[in-house]
Amino acid sequence: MTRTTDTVALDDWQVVGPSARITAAAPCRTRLLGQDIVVERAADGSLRTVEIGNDGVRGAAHPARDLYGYVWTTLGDPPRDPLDMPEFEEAGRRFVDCGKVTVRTSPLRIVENFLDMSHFPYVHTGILGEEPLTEVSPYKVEVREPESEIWATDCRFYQPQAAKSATGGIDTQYMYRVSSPFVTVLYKTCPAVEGAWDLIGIYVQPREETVCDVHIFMLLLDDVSSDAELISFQHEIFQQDRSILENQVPALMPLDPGAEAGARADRTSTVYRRWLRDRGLRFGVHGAAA
Amino acid sequence: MPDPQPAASTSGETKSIRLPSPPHGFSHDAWYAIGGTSALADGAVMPARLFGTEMAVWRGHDGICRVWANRCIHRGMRLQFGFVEGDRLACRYHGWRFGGDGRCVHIPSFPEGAPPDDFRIARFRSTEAGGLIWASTGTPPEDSPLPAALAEIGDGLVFCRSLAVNAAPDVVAGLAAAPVFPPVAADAAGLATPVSRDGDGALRCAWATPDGTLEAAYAARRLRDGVTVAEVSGKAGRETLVLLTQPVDDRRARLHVLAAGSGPAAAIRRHYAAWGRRFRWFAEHPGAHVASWSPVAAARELVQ
Amino acid sequence: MIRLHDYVLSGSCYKVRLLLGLLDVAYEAVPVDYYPGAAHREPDFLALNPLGQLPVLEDGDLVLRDAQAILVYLAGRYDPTRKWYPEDPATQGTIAMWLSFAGGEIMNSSAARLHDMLGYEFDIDKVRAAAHAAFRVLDDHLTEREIDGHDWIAAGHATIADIACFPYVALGGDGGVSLDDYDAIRRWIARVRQLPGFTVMPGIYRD
Repeated sequence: MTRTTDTVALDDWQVVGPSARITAAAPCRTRLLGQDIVVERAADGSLRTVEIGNDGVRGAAHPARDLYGYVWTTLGDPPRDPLDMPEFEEAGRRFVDCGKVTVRTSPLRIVENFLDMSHFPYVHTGILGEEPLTEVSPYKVEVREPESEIWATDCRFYQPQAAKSATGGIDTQYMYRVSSPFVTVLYKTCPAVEGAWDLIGIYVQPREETVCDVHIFMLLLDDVSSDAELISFQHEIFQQDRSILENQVPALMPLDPGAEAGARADRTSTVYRRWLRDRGLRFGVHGAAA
Repeated sequence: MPDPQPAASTSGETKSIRLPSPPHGFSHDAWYAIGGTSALADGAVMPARLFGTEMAVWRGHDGICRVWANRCIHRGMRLQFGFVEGDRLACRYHGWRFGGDGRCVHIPSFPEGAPPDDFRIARFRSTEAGGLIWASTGTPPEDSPLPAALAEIGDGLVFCRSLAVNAAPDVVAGLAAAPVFPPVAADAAGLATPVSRDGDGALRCAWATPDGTLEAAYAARRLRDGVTVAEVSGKAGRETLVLLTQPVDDRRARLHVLAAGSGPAAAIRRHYAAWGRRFRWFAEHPGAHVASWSPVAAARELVQ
Repeated sequence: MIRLHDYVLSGSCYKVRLLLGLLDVAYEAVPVDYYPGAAHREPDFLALNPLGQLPVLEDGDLVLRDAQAILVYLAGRYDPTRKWYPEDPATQGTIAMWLSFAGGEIMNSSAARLHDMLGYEFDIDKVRAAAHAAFRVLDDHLTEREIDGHDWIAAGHATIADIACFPYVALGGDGGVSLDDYDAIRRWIARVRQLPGFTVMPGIYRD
């Protein structure tokens, strides 16, 4: 085990698991940014993270907190709180924890795949897209201050089956948000309620530079489908991505603008890579020792 | 998963890919067989590896086989998982289409745009000859990969099979050139004579019954790195066995087996495909090469 | 209507979904929250299958567990061509041999996949080595079959032996068991994908 030295990655909040599964009787033993940790809940419900050394000896303690159904922790000193999602306060919202899936690649590849629409007809054929409707119309990307979050808006794509409850193809609208290097949420057309957004997000927990646990959640206005059906739909989509993600070479993501070819539809990816370069992130980056 | 490769530039030139040092006896600037022509149908894609360098090998519906770097220039997706459309290869991730010369000809997310000229997959020199697909990570001096001796055998050579062997390339090539077990029937109840060297440099080994009757003989000549031609004589007559070693990486190789003989092609293929499996066993169990080895004992060892 | 207790990422369930599609038999998929819910370990499901495993098939009063057993039943009941599970003893014996292999040695690939994807505890090096050994046996067999002019595991046409072996072989990559060494397996996978009525699951491509 080698803990990262990259303070950009360390000075941030990462998710380690669902709040409901980390109890006083069931601490969470895991690895974060190359560091073995145990996340413990006290009898009063408070949380803390303790580093575990190579020799198994308990080391430094760090803060941990519940937020939006998950336990977040940090091994450093984050300058700000994790993202704000007011939708969680809305009535009628249904939160679904879809579990975590391990993927062997850089966390940055995982986030970038989540932000991309042009793979829909090829990787999620017949569900999120299909030939010949492959064109990605121009959309907007900006970095919003003061949170310094990336937002892609005015995204839209024709989808044969946009959601579990969908009964036919629709033009789905999307917004994508990146609040920190390993945290991204998408907002998509809610089939049930016109004008509302369903949220699907991934919290990528990098155990090491190319081994990540991806925690997947949904916040929906669907009251028709069972949890099993919703989770099954999400797992199907994510597993299709996983078999691509583990076959990208190199696993560490290059951030140099000329390293990989881009197309017009890759604007969010271009902004994400530049945003990561500006932050000085080394963890998960090709050619940067972390 | 295999180690990540350094990101190549999008210029598509092979020299931009950093190549590791080849194992002893092998060279980048040489041709190596990487599979049988019949193993890659029109419209199929398969992976290959030389000296640890990953390749995607595909055949268009124009029948032409191409060997490319196993990495799409867009987001690094392995092209071995792509699909063939006409005489183009499509990447599985975003469906980018590449023409026979490696140039990107279509980007589905932006269909009316013309992809830039330098959007090109890195390619390797490749050709087909003698029933085999050949490739090189460098620049071989010869245009034809086929050694003259193989060209002479000509059409009689039947491709039997390729085998992945978990042994170093020089071990595999060495075993192919210096036989220690009979390529004939496994139940040949004879004893091996020591390996000797012929006047023309061939390594010869013979098996005889206790009363001295010759059962089988095998004389192998190493043509060049990784290519061995052997004359096999046994009760069934004479056959020619051609063994080509493909250096996959430091620890692994592939063996391509071709044979020629007077019997029906299917019988020859069946026989030497089975022989190849025994070869693989010996290559992966180096402790089995003992001086007191006998075919019977070896056959018993192989029973599972 | 046939009811299949199912989980989208289960290769064992996919064996059944695949054959149902190839036979063009309608069914109702009943999703079970296998992960993260572990519903297959709860009393309601255990009443259906005390082994706590998927798939389980219900057809009228018949309740069957074990993917291989379900394939035998579906082929026997719903295949008028008698090709998916031919009636001659030699072929049935051969198919049974490969069904055993599919539910046995090949399942090392399933273990590697569960370890790599969902963090199940296995000795991963041992399990991957065992999966490779099994894949090699199948690849050698398919190579011999090709030399003899046959494209399928147990007969001159596809049978339930091919369907039973297919998912966890094709999904080897999910568990870090690459198919790069297995030429004949890759060609066989391409043939399976061409079968009329073939359906995919995540990790398996259509073309």
